[in-house]
Amino acid sequence: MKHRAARARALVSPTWAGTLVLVVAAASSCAGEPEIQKQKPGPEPYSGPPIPWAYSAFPDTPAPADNPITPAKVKLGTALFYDPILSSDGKVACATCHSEQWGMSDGLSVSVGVDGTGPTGPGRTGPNMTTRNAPTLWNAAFRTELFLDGRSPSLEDQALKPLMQPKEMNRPPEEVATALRAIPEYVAMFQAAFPDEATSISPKTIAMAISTLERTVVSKQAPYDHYVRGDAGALGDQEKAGMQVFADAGCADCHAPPLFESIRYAKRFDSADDGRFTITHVEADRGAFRVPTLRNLRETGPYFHDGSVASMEDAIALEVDRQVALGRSPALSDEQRLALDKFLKSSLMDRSEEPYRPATVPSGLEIPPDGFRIPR
Amino acid sequence: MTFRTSPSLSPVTKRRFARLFAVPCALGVGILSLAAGCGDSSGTGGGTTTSSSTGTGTGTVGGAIACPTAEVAGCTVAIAASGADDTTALQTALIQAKSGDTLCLCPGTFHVTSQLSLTVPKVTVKGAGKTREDAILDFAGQAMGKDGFTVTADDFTVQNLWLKNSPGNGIVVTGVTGVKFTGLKVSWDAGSVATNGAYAVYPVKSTNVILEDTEIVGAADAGAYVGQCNKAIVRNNIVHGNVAGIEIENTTDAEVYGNESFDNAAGILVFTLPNLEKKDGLRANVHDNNVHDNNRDNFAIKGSIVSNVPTGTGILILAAHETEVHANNIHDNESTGILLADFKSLCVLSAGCGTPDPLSDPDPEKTYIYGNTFANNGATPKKPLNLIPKTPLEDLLWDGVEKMAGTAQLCLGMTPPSFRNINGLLNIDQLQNQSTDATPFKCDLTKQTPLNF
Repeated sequence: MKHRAARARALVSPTWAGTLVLVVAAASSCAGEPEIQKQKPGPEPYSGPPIPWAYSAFPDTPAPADNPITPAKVKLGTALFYDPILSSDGKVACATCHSEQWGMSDGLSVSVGVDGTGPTGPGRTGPNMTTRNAPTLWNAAFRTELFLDGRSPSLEDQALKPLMQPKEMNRPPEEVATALRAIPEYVAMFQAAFPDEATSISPKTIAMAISTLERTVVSKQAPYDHYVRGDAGALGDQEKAGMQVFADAGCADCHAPPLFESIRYAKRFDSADDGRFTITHVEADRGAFRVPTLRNLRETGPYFHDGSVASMEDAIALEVDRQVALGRSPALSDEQRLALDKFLKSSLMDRSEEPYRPATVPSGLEIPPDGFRIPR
Repeated sequence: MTFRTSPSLSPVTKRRFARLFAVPCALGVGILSLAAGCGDSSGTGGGTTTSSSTGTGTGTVGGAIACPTAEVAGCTVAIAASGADDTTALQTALIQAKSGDTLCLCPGTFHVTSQLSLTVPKVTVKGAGKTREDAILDFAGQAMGKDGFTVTADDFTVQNLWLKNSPGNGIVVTGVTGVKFTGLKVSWDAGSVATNGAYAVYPVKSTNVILEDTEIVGAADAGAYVGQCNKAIVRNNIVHGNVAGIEIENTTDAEVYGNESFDNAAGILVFTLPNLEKKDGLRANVHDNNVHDNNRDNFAIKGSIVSNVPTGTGILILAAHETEVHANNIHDNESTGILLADFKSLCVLSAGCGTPDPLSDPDPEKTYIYGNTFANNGATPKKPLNLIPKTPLEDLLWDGVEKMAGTAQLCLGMTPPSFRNINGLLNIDQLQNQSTDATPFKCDLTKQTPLNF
């Protein structure tokens, strides 16, 4: 039962969680290295139920030294994330293409930016379509190369890029900052979040706040996580069989536990999009895209860099067939394939830390609807 | 209270924030004060007890768990309400739960201020009271999160609880295999108003769903809502005072029986809607229900799809395929007993809804309606069915829309109910272009078999 005890220690006591000062103090002293780090792989002491790979603990959430996570920034970042004031038509927010109802993506093959019609999700159309599938924001906190081509080194760097894209949000960050300065509620929120910044509302602080919100969108309470922490029953027989297939078929080499992704790039389809090559100019990177996380996979479709595969099962089958064809995996029975599907569908599912869509945003603009039927 | 005006950090933000650093910090700080002994003799204050010999709590009594007012066999953990905000205690227990655990809520009212979530499979959450009204989760103070209680783990059971006042949906179970809601009550103190949560009990994208013996009152959309599921049984529930009592939407294989649905705007909906992940809805078997007096003014938020549902409708079948409706008692619904329609009809009649979805079929097909008992329906039709210049309206109305002649494959058995084919929306006020002749629909389809899983 020592796992249970360990888990219990890992929990936040009511007293502790309820005391903001303590939380903040803990944050500054417990966040580990102040610099963004790549996940440290490799074996660690493990005494949970069997897993078919070397155990790695789920990493602590990193944050840059100059942008630690604070409640005021999370609150501000949430408002900005859902506020369409960031876009030229006043209708597109970050959440338009990264909705908690669509796996922190948008359910579309490629995204639809400003001047589009329809809520997030299948059916949204418009003149400004991107060329790539919107990456999920789940566990973006742990990524050190962002975008599908990995061109951005940090969330702070990434966060404003969609504003500058004519086909996405299409509003210069400086213009957004100016607009925000005219809204007293934002002025107060920025001052609370960035008391030490000379100019509290700036593209820099906007990016810092959004990045901070993104760092809270962590998926680490899936059945797999409960299992490795000692709850052997958290995975059923089929899921455990699927986990074994996941290892045997070589899936875990790139979709490496516990994040089930890695900073690697892979080419899957011939396409006009040169992908990683446009950044590195290395021929081997032509048409290659970053290996995505498989956490919350069932909600992050359509799949692949161009969203060309609609169903999760089809996407898994394509990957498995490829591994088999390359001799990296033994042939799989139908039963094994179903087990793999089940493992990926259920065992990696956790959206308990999704961002909470506010009822209103300080601009007073309408929060872009999420495509589910009743907005709140 | 809205998020933006919240003067202080909400508990959920604290929780989210704290969780980011939970492992190293909790170890370092070394605080854990979960157990407060709800089994102690004082019987006051909140707390947790557990049956685990190595657990953190106290209060184990002869292998059973003690609540201040009851001892409950079969509980792994029992939690008592504190009288203050119980969110952290509840959420902590939900994180700490292990597969196979039964988490019991002692009789009393638990005040929840942010969305609860469960990600551990094979967990049962149940009220430890004598009735479902004894242990109450009250979400009246919920400031964040659109659902009261969200679950994404397989083999979940929730029973013998009263969930009330959720500003959003009540209990939402997403993407699981195996979920059972049994003996619940879900309601809002405000009665039936648009500011209530949309769906009370809401399994979605799930397989093997059972919703039974539950009373649902006041949902601003559908009380019992089964969306994008495979294999769902909805039985022996009492649903009233909602916009829609029961809704089966984009679901394959649903059996809805033994329910009483009354005093809603519409009693039972079987829908296939566009722009959802699961595109089709087929094989809803709706039988042996008592569907009556569904005449409440539609109080849904304007612009929502359900706000277009005509008040006074017993059963509304919209775009679904292979729907079977039989042996129901359908009476005293002021617009009609059963309305069968194309998705577009609902929108056109009511100023539009949704965007076209080429992958969603708007037309119902293979509908089989037979052997129902009708009485006193259609007496005072409501908008837009009042555009048909006749009263009383028939027990069964069909908008007459089909992709091409015969594709609807509507069968009404050998003794059809009173029937009207509106023959398209342009004819809704043109009686001479409509037909009440059910003879062409005297036919039978293959009957569905009881659902088992």
